[in-house]
Formats: sequence, C-alpha cells, structure tokens
Amino acid sequence: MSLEIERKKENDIMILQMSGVLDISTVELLQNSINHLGEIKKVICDFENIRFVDSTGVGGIASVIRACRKNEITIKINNILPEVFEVLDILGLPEIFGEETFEVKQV
Amino acid sequence: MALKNKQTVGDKSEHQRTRVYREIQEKKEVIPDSVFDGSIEIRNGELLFTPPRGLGRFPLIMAGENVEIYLNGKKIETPSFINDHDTVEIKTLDTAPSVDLEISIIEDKMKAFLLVKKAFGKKYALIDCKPMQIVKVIARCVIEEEPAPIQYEDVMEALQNKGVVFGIQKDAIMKAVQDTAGEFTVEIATGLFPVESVDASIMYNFQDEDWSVSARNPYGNGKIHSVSLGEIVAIKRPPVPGKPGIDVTENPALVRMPKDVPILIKDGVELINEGTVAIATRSGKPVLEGYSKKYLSVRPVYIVEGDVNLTVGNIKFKGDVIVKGSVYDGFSIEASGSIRVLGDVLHAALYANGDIVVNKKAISSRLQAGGLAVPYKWIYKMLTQLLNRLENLLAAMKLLKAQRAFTTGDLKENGEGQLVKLLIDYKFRDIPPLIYELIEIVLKEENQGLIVDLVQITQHLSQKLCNLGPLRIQHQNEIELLIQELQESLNIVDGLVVNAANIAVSYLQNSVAQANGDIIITGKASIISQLHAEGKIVINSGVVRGGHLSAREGIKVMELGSNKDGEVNISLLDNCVLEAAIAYPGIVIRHATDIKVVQEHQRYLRAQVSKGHLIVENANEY
Repeated sequence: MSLEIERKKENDIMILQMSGVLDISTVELLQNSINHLGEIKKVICDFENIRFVDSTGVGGIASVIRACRKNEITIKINNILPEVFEVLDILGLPEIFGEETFEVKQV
Repeated sequence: MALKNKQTVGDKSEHQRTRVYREIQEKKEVIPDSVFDGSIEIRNGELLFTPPRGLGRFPLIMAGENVEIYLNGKKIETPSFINDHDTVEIKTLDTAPSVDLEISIIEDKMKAFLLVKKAFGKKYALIDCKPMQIVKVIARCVIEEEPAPIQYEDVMEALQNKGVVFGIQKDAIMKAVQDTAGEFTVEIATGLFPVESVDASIMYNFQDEDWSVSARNPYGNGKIHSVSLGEIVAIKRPPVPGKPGIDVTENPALVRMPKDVPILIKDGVELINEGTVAIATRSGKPVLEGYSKKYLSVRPVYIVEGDVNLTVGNIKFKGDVIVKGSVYDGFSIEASGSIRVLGDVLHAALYANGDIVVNKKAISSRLQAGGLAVPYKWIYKMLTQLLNRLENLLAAMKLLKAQRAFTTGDLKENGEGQLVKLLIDYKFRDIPPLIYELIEIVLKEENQGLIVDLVQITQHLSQKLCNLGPLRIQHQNEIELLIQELQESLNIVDGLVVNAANIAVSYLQNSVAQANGDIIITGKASIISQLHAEGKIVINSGVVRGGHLSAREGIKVMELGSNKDGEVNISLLDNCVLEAAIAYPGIVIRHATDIKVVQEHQRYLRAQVSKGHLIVENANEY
C-alpha cells in the first residue's frame, strides 16, 4: 500500500493530487506535504484517488487541517469518494472543521 | 347526450338572411347615414346572424348557463366577435342519468362504507333571444331523466372489486337498493372486532401522598397509614392477552401483546403468588419511592406516644418517626424516612430524607426535608446522559469498522483505543466534560453521605475516556463493560432518587425550613422565617411578615409584608414566578444580581424571571 502526492503550485494556491491509501504507513507523507508552504494562501487536497483510510490516516487529515488553519492557510479537501467521506462523517470531522472544508465527489 | 346546435353563419339560409336584410332595408329608410350594428338572434334553438352595415359593429357572442360555444372549432371563454365567415357551434351541456357506487374502507379495515351518488340526466334547450349586438346564449333544462335503480348485484360487485368479503351486511345493501335519496352513505360491512389486551396493573392498598393534589391539607385528617407484618401492600392484576378479530378483507385483525409490569420491591416487602401479591415483612409505613421506576417498601415506623423531651431524648431512626405530642426545647429528630409531629415543634430541629409534617406550629426551629435526593437526581440524569453517549460511541465504532473504505490494520497493531480517542476528540467531545461534572458532584463534601459508591465507576470512566485514557483501550469490549457498569449504577441510583420531600407546617415563626420539594404553610403565617424550597412555596391563606423566601418553581402567598414589620426578601431562582394577593411596600425581590423593590401597596403583585431577567410589575430598581 502506498500513497503518492503530486504537488502543483498555481500562484498562491498549492494543489496536492493524492492517490493511494492514507493509513498508518503513509500518513507521514501527507503531513510532510504541507511543510515549507512559504507564501501559499490556500491548499487543495484532491482525494479523488484515495480509496482507503484508517484511523491514523483520519487523524492525519485532522492534524493537517489544524496546522494549515494555525498558519492562516485555507484548506479544502475535494473530490472525496462517498465511501471515504462516510468514514470522515461518522468520526465527526465535517461537524468540527465545517462542511465547506470537505467536498464529496459527485458520482 | 349534449344537444348540438351547429350553425355556419356563412351558410345561413337565404330566406333568413333575406328577411333580416329586408328589415334592415326598412330601417334604413328612417336612418339617413346607413350605419347598422351587426346582430345575433336565437330563435327556436337556431342562431341567426345579421352582419353590420357601413361602420356598424360586429356582434358579440358569449356562453351563458349550460352552454358551450365553439367559434371555428375553438371553445370561447370570453365574449367574441363573429362575422359571416365564422362557424359557430353551440353545445348544450346535457347530462345522462348516473348512479355511482363507491366503496371506502377505514384505515384499520374494520369497516367498509358504501357511498351512493345518484344524478338525474338533464337535457337543455336554448332560450330564444331577440336580435342584439351582444348576446349571452343560455339554455334551460327541458327534460329530466331518472337514474336507473341500484341493483343488489352491482353493490356486491363493487364490494368484491375492493376486496371486501367479510362481514357484509345484506340488510344494508337492501336498504341502499331501496333508498331514493340522491346521495347517501351506508355502513356496508363490519369486521369482527378484536378484544384488546389488558396491561398488567398494580393496586396499592395505601394512598401515596400526592402533595400537588392534597396541598390544602397535606397531612390529612391526622390518620397515620401503616401496615402490619404479613399485611397485603399491593396486588398485581396480571396482563390479559386479547383475541384477534377479522377485518372486512378477511385478514386477521391482530392485537398487541399486553404489557407486564412487575411489582418492584425493596426493604420490608416480599412477593408471593408468583409475584402478584406484595406483603409486608415488617410493620411500618408503606411507601413508593424511585425516579423512573417506583419501588415499594415498608419503612419501619418509630412512634413516640407523647412528647419528645428529656424522657425520650434525641431520636435518630432509619425509617419514619411519628410524634403524637410535641418536640420541645433543644431536641432533634433525624429520620431516613419522614417525620410527622402532631403537636408543636418548639426550639427544636427535624431532619428527614422524606417529608416533614408539623400539624401545629414551629417556633425558633429548623425543619429540613430531602437530604440527598437532589444530588441523586443530578447523578441519575448525568449517568443516563453518559450511558446514552457511550452507547452511541460504541455504535459508531461498529459502524466504522464495517465501512468498506475503512481499514483497521493500525487498530490491530496499536489497539482500538486510537479509534475511541478519535471519536471522543471529534464526535463525542461532550463525554469528558460530563465525566468531570459527575466526579465533581460525587466528591462534593455535602454529598459524602451518598449510599451508592459511585467513586469506582467515576474512576473507571475517567481512566478510560478522559485525556489520553482512550489510547490504553485495546478492544471495544472495554467500552461494552463500561456501558454495563454504568447501567448497573444507574439502576441502583434510580431506586434511590426519592420523591420530592416536602414540608407542611401550620405556623412558622423565627424558624428555618428547607425542602427539596415544596413548603406549604397550611395555617395563618410565616413570621420572620427563612424558607427555601427547590419546588414551590405555598401560603394560600396566610401572611408572610419579615424573613426570606426563595424557591425554584413558584411562590404563592396571600399577603406579603406589612406596614409595621421588617422587610421581606424574596429570591426567585430559575424561572420562578411570585404571586401575592396583597403586597406591602418594602418587599425586596431578587434574581441573581437583579434587585427590585415594591414601592407601593398593591392588590396583586406578580414577579417572574423571563429570559434571565427579573420582571416585577410596578416595582422600582433598588
């Protein structure tokens, strides 16, 4: 199981194109991906190709959101597969971080 | 059948047109400028059209009662012009005689009704009208046709089509067949009604005191209810299952299972006859206690035949205490049940977990009713809330583990506590504060006398669910065990939440009365006394002179204050309402930091707390 993160920078927006599995073995990659953002004002994580998460992965998502907000960077997680969003929803992440932070992929 | 009256203006007979033209020609002789409006005439059911001449106007046609008009094949809704080339079709709205049979079945399918709608057929004819430029075509009914009589077979067919096959009332069908009314409804089929189940019920052979009902005379007529050893305290009527019926579609009409209610007992009571009869295992006072469930017990009763004085001494008793005389200077009574004094309480103290009733006066005394009922009530509420949240947390854990997109490798490696922590951090954030609040109540100094040891459960909850505690959880079984433990504690506390403990006293002077229920002054007055009730203070026929009254639910007094005595202080807690039939100036009313003073004599004083603010009619700021 692996996770690949492709970083694209458009002006002051950083797009993280992610694919693979977000779990205990890969969560560090996600956390590292938001280091050294410099002048970036907005981070968009594209979750279209994230098919599985575990509790460590969800914890990683929460810590990345918190870290961005701490540095006054807007973060959005887009194209979340419905079954992955279901996991985040049961854990209460949209309730805490705001529904607008998470965008479910329209199937 | 609708009467069709089709006229093509252009095809009008030459004879008719000629005759109309001739008339016009005759009129032309007297009207010099030869301008004529066109006209329409209805004669013998025929439409006759005369076109305008010169600058004359075209005639207008519109449909009136029982008529539809089609102009060049299109139905007209508003007055329309016609000319020589138009085709005008007039239809009269004839109706055929009809009989409608409608079967309706009520929701539980136990009854079916037949709705009969009979309508006479009607044939219309156009009413003649003289030539006019604007014509409203009207038809009147000329023939009425009677509808055919209802046939028995038609009704049966309608019933069958609706699936009604059981309980058909042939008499009702015959009545419907013979009925000549235009529209009527008749019950046509009736099912066999089920016999409803009867729930189990418990009859107690003593009257549980209901203070809200008997507030006028809460200590009754001085009789003390007690039971002897072996006496029947309660009898249970067992549940009786009902019998199913049959609905009109011939399906069984089921009955619900009857509810069974067990007699819940505590000390001093035993069940016999398979739990249907409760008998006293000791002499004493039968009581019903409990919050959501009512437990029956017989409290031991200690009866002092005379006064409580030097010969009797102070009394401490696990049960109820009844003093047939008075309680005198410096003596005290402590009872785990209720205290009833038929005489006076003078310079003495009464402490009861249950009610306190003093038939006569209490002077320079202390009356305290309720004991630990208040904290038990709070603890019960909090345990219920925690139990509910933990059950939801467990359900969320199970749901997550069943998700297709959720992998559990890390949980197997590090334990399921990680998931519990995540749930508590986000979805169930209210759990740790609830636990802390519970711990605070349990450890309060004044609650040290709590009978149930709640320290252990609070420790377990705190260790497993607060701070980093969840990370130590290895498996969801540990949450299940916590839930079980909570449920057990809740069951115990449920039985300990006693009913609100009230105080009733005839006259109070220089005394302190505290109750977790109501305080009722049944006689003339409360003079310079401190009254605090978690429920209501009721002094319906007495006066309050001086002192301090505070209550959470309501204060009702006949006369508040006086011109001569010291000021009366009132504290309204929560959403308490104060009502006094007469109020004197100088009454100070408080709620939190709001303070208001009644400045003038008032016939009716009302004060209340609304949205956290104190509102007093006709009072000034302090």
